[in-house]
Amino acid sequence: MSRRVVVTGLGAVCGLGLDWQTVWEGLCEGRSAIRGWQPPGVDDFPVRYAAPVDDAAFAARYGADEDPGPVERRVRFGLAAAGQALADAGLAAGGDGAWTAGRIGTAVGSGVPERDPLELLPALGEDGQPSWQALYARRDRLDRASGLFCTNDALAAGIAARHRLRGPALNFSTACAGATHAIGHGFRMIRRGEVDAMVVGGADSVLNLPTMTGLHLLGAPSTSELFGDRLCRAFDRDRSGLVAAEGAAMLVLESEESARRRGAIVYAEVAGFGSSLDAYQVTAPHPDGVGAALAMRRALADGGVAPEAVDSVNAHGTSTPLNDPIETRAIKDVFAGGEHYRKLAVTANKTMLGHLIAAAGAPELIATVLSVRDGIVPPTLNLENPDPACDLDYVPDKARHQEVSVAVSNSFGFGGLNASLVVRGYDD
Amino acid sequence: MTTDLPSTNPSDELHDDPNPRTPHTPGTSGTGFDPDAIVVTGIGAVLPTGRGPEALWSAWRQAQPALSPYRDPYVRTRKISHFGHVPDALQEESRDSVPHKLRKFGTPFTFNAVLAAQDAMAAAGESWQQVPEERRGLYVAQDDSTDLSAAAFHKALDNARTDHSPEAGVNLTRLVAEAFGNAATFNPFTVIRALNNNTLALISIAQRFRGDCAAFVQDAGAALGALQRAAFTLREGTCDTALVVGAGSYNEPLKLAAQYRAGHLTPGGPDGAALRSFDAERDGTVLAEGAVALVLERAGDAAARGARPLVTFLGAALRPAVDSGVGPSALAEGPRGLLAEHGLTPDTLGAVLADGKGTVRHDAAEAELLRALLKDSGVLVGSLRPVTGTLGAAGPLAELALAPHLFATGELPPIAHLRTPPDDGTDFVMGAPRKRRIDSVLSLHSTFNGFAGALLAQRPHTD
Repeated sequence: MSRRVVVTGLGAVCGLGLDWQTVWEGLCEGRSAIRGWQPPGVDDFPVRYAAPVDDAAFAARYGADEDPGPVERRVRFGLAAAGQALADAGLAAGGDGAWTAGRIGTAVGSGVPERDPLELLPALGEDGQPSWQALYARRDRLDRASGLFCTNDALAAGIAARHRLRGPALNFSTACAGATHAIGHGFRMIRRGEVDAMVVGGADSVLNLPTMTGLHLLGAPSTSELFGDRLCRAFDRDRSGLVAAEGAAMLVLESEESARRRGAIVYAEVAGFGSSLDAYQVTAPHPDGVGAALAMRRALADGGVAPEAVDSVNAHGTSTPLNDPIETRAIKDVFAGGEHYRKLAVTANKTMLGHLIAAAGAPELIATVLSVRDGIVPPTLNLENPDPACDLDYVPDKARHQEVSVAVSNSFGFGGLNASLVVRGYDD
Repeated sequence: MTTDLPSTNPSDELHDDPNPRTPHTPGTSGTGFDPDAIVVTGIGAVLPTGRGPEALWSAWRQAQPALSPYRDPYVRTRKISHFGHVPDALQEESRDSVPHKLRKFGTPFTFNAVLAAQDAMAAAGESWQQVPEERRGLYVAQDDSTDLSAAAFHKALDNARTDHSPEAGVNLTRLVAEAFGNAATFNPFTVIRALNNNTLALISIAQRFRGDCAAFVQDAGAALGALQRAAFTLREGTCDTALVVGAGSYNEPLKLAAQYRAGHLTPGGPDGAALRSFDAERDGTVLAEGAVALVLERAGDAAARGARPLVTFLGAALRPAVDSGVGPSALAEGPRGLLAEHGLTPDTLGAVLADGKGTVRHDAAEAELLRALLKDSGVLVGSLRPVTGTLGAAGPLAELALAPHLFATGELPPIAHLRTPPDDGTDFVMGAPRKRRIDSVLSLHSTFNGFAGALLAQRPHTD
């Protein structure tokens, strides 16, 4: 069985907004969620900018849904986005036969659970050595948000429990490609007929002291203060590292047959998925972009889409010194025929959203879906001095109105993981 | 390391099944060769029982648990009585199997995974190496253990502790920040080690995999997800071989503390019988560590290169246990659906490998599930758990790794330490191995975080 798979529901929570409509509007208007940031309780952390979710606004909007509340930020964001997406798709728990028959599942990409180092302090005994006895004796000092209560798969379990989804529930953990992997495998499951619909996407929050410290020591986030909140400069000569963000985005993918039967509104069709491994280095992509190119080629072949049919690429575009020229090289390689790469509108949403790490591919796929639906390619901000090695049309500064029949969305991760999705307009 | 399986019929030393049944040959094994069937052609294991599936089988068959008193250089406690430690010498072999330049990115259990992968690939035969790197899929199940542990943070925590504030506060936060900001006290690779795709990355680089991939973190359910996706991509033709690896360790202070708080851990059990699956006197599980790797291929491809299929993987199910976390109604959905999908009924199964964590609650729920699922079918039920402990992501793969031995020997080892099983009609194997032709195996799993699943395997076609 091979079925067409369509997008029928969207949900997003990130620094740019607390629903997908606001996020899309922000992207089209070129608004940035990046602002001055410091970890809680610290005022001179070397990473000065990030794209956090507005806590007060989130609590005001979703606080009522938090009883009994999940404890981690990423899980709270993910549940909110999943609820949005299901409501947007017109699906209500228990209201559909497929629901109880286990034909609707979930697949999410997750980052590591939040583990504040302070929670480990009680693990030190009086002699200064880590001691489980000490940890247990002082357990009352640990709040419910501590690592004792967090697991990586909490979001998948939470979505299934809250919405009583009885189909497969999968938790992908593939670093910055996590959400794209989850979406891709969910797409395959529907196409193959394993399920009728999937709630797919990702959620993450790395805006805490230990994770950001580790990322900083690896040299991943930019510490520059030269450009203020215009720090994320994908494909620009002056780019200096990623700008971390937090949030979640979820999509409801559904078989065309199921969507038609329900009379659901279809945003676009997911046509193909491809993934690959660099097998090169843990912390650096292959310099020739062979893994990235392989993922894009596989996604196009999977969808039966010729490279010449693609109008736009939603790039991984991290604003790191390594990623941007290598991704450019990979795009030029895949779309070399007839120099089609010259015709592509390539956009880097991270210049506005920041890098949502494990969740990154999900809001970017939503943007890709809406690009196809609305015929708008969001801009790449802050591209003032293009890197000579980055010589594609990155849609600088302002969104572009143009027909987008087919688009590709890329996500690449630590460890040499690459994943690409192909989206095309749905015409019934 | 090769898989050396006996090819003769069950030994006469075994206890004959009092209710022998007509051998059943489900699926393709009785109807002919199916080139699209998914078969396992290589197995590697690094477990508390030692290296390789034979060590695991031997320990299981002899009912010799590989659980030992808990030990860790950073965690001193008497509340964690036992643990399924990978032996120190084997742990060193694992580390030595990882290229030196990659070691700084890995953790001990990641190293176990690399060695298990290496062994599985070797067992799959030399011709397996001819599969192009781009056509090798890699699907990894990793435990939710991270290196963000007391061990990793030791120096930073020690520095921070110079402030003797009784409560964690702003000043303490500041001290921690300073300690963490100093590369001399904080290993910059800690975050990489903490990434849950760490195992995937290291194996792909060390063993040259460039094909389709995925990594899952979902306790034992992660292995079921990885198996499902691997089989799926093989059937779709997205790759020509798929390595499925499950690896992890529960030896992390926060995880141990969480499990203890939840009342899941045994205080030690009488007579050193730490983990007593399904026994009336069970009092908790024993956590463990280890890695298992399986090479999967389409049967036609395996035959074409002359590889010996060890087991046919039919499928896996993984569902949220929506009702109660471990409720039997939710647990039953997976195995029932799986059996139905392959035209099997419970009474045609050769054996059921139960999870049998050894906790009062999990085993009670599973016993109820077994009764509901098997009724009076007479199917034998065993459990590996008392031998290996609760393995997490490697658990389901360990059971699949044992299936070839079950098929070859026709015996199901006893559940170690089981003296008083539930009196509900389920045929738990006790005391000595039971002899019976086994053509299919159903293994059941539940996780600590609300998922339940099963996997189904059968004797491969070997003409």
